Amino acid sequence: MFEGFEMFVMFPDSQNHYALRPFDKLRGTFAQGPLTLQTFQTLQTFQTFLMNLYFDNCATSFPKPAAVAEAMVSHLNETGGTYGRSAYPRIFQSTKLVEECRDSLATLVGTAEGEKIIFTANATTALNLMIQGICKRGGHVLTSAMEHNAIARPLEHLRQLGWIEWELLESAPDGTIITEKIASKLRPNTILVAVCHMSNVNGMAQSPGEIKKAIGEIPLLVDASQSLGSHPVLVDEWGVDFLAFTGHKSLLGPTGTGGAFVRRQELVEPLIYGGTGSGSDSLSMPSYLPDRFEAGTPNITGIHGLNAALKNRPVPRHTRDDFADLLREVKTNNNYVVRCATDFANQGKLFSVVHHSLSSSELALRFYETYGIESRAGLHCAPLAHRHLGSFPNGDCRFSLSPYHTPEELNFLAKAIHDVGR
Amino acid sequence: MSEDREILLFQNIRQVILAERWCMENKLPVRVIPVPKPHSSECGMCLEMNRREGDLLMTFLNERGMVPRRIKLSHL
Repeated sequence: MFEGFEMFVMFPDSQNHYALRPFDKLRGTFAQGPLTLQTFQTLQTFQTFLMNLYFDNCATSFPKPAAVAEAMVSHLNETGGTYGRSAYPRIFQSTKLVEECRDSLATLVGTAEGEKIIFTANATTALNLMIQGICKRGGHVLTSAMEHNAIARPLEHLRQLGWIEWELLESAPDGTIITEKIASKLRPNTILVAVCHMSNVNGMAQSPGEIKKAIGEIPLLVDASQSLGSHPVLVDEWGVDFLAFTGHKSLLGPTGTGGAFVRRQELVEPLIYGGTGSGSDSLSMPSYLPDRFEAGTPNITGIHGLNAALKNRPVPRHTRDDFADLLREVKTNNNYVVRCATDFANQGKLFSVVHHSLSSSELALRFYETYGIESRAGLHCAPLAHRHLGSFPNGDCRFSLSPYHTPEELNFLAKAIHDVGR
Repeated sequence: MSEDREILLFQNIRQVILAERWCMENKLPVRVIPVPKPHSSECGMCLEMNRREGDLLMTFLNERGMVPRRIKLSHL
C-alpha cells in the first residue's frame, strides 16, 4: 500500500487532528486521504505512539531481536529437522544448532559444562523437575520470603502430600536473605534450599554465593527467571547446584523455551520419562546428561529462536544511571511507596509502586488509558513476597524495563507515574 | 571398501555433535551417518572414519573426555 514512500510525516487535518501520512520523497508530495495510517487527537498522543511504552518485560519481553522470528520462520518454512533420531543433513544441522544453543547457555550461566544444561518448556517446568525430583526422598526445605509460586506451589503440594516440611529463611525488609541467620534454620534432614535470584516484585537480587557458603553441602536451587540475561549469573563461582531459567524474559527469546543447570544429577529423579534417541534398547531413562532429563522432542523451533536471541543481544539503549535516575525520580513522589532493593547494587530492572489511595488495578488502567503505558497490576504470582513486603492481598503496580527502552522513554514513564499519582 | 571403514558409537547425540565439531576444527576427516542396523537401537547418529585414522581419532577424543565405541564395518 505504501510502496515507494520512504518516510511518514505528521500532518494536521482540517479538524486539527494529527495524522501519519506517507511522504513521497521523489515527488516531494504527501499522500492524501485513504493512505492515512492512524490519526491522533493531539501531538502528544502521536509522540506516545512512536514510543516503546511496554513496561511488562518481567512477564515476557517485547520487542525481541528481529533475528528471533527470522530463525523460527526459517526452521518452520525452510530448514526443518528434529533433534537427533537419524543422521541426514537436515537433522544434523538442527541438532547441531540445539547443541550450540546449549553451549551458549552454559557460558551465560557461568560454566563450561554444556551437558549440564537441560532444555525444558519454561522455568516452572525446570523448577518442578528439580523440586519434585529431589524431594521424593522427603525431608525439610528452606526457601525465601520472596518466592514466586513456581517454587512455593510445588513445595506446598509436596507438604500437603506429607513428603516434606518447608519454611522461610529470615529476610531484611526488601527480602534480602540474612545469610548470618541461615545456619540456625538448618536441620539434619534439610534436603534443599530453593530461592529466587531476583524478585519479580521489587527486583531485589539475592547473593547465591553467600547463601551457598552458609548451607555447605546442602543442595542450592536458584530460580534465575528474572535475572539471567540482565544480571550476572555465575553457577560455578557461586557453587550453585541447580538453576532454572526461562528463555522469553531477559534472554529475549520466544515463549516455550527455558531450562535448567543440573550439577548434581544423582540427587534428582526425572519428572518426565520417554524417548531420548539414546540407549533405546533399555526401558529405563539414560543415566547421563542431558538425556536423563530430556524425554520427548524438544521445542526445536523455539530453541532456534532462543539461539538467535543469544547471538543478537541488543546494545542497551539506556544506561544503569538512567535507570537509577528513574527510580530516584519516582521515589520523590510521596503518594507512592516504591518497592525496590535497599541497595541499588542489588537492583534488577524492575520496580513496583503502591499508591496511598488508588488500587494497583486502578493504577494500571490509568497508566494505559492516559499514557499508553503497559504495566502489571496485582500479586505477580508471588503472594509470599507481597506478604513480606506488606502489600498482600492488594498487590502493586509493576514496571519492568527492556534493553530497548531509551532514556526519553524512561523520562516519560517517570512523568506519567507522577501525573497518575497526584 | 567397507573393510577400510570404522564407526564410532557415542553415548548420546550431544557427544556426536561435539566430536564432529572438534574433528572438523582439527581437520580430522569424519562423516556423520545413521547408526548401522546391528546397533540401530541407538536410533541416532555416529561418526564414520577411515580405519587408518582410527587410533589418532580415539586418542584425540579420549583426551577430550570421550570414550566412544569403535567398530570395524567389516564386522557388521
